Amino acid sequence: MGASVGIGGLIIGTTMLVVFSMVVASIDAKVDSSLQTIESANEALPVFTIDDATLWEGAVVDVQIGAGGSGYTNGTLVSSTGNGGFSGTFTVNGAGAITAVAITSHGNYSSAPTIVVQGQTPTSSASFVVSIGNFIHSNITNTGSYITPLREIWVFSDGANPTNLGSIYSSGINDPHWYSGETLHIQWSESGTLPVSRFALSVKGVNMASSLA
Amino acid sequence: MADGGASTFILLITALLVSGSVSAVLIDQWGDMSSALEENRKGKEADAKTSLSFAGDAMEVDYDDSVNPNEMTFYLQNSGQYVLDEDTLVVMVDGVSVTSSISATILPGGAEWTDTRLLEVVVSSSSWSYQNDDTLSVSAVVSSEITSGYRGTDTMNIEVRLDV
Repeated sequence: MGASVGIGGLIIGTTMLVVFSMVVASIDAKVDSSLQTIESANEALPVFTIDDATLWEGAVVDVQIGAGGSGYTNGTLVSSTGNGGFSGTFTVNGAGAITAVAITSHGNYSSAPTIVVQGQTPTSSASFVVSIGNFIHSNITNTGSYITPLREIWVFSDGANPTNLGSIYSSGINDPHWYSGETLHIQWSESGTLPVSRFALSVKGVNMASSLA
Repeated sequence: MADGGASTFILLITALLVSGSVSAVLIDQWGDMSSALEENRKGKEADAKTSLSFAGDAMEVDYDDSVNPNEMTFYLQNSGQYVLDEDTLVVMVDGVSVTSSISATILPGGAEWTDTRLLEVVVSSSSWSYQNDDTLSVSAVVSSEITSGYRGTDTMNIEVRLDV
């Protein structure tokens, strides 16, 4: 009988220990899981600097094809008036008529420049309609550890005209990111009220602004 | 000896019954506690993943005094992980609610105010007569869409300077 009592006591004690350890382990796991979930929601904040921000008020913001001409091959466009620094490229169709134009450097002019095809003798000449306007250039550096998708970054001029950086920064990469220590040169045309004087950058609740030179 | 054996046996059975009852109570209590922890965790998680921030230039918040009532335009960014419900947005200007005259547009266009997207907020009030460079306090409160049965809430407060 003594042995059976001893065994019974052992069973009771073991049962209680198992139950207590289950409770403690489960509650511990729940608390750990809760803390991890809450901590995971607190991501590192982006840290960045605006190294410079410049407004070019006479940049070539649009080039329309007035007449496509004929006898061209794919080539480059330059300005025949002023030294503002415009350059572009164009593509032609089967007849050698210019069908598309792409600006590679917007330049900066006091009045709309005359755009011409560089170094070609066509059958009939093309002509272009040029528009100049505000163009903002800025260098920004990611000085923190947060790797920021460009689609999370918004730029503003004079606190308005929000523009998503992912839509204006053409790196040729799908869904590009801004890495720690990386400096981006961003540029975009500003169609808002003239003249703009300030430029602001917003990333996940962190805002920074700079006057435009 | 036989009496002693019987009483010892009764004690053993009693101990087994008591331990079983205690175990049942403990397991039941543990279940309640676990549920409470889980509920609390989900609520905290929803709040932690709901974040609202001012976006743009606080020094130049657009104020249009050419219209009646005067309008103020500013931008809010969903800086959290949960989708925000713009219909729950409450805005206060200098401590006064302007909720009845809010126009909110998601940028870029979309049906949901997901993370990284902006909300263009235009608020108006006939009682305003602010001037250029006036400084005022803007507060906003918003809740997330219901996610896993819970809504998170976040608030934003900022001092802004008006650009008329």
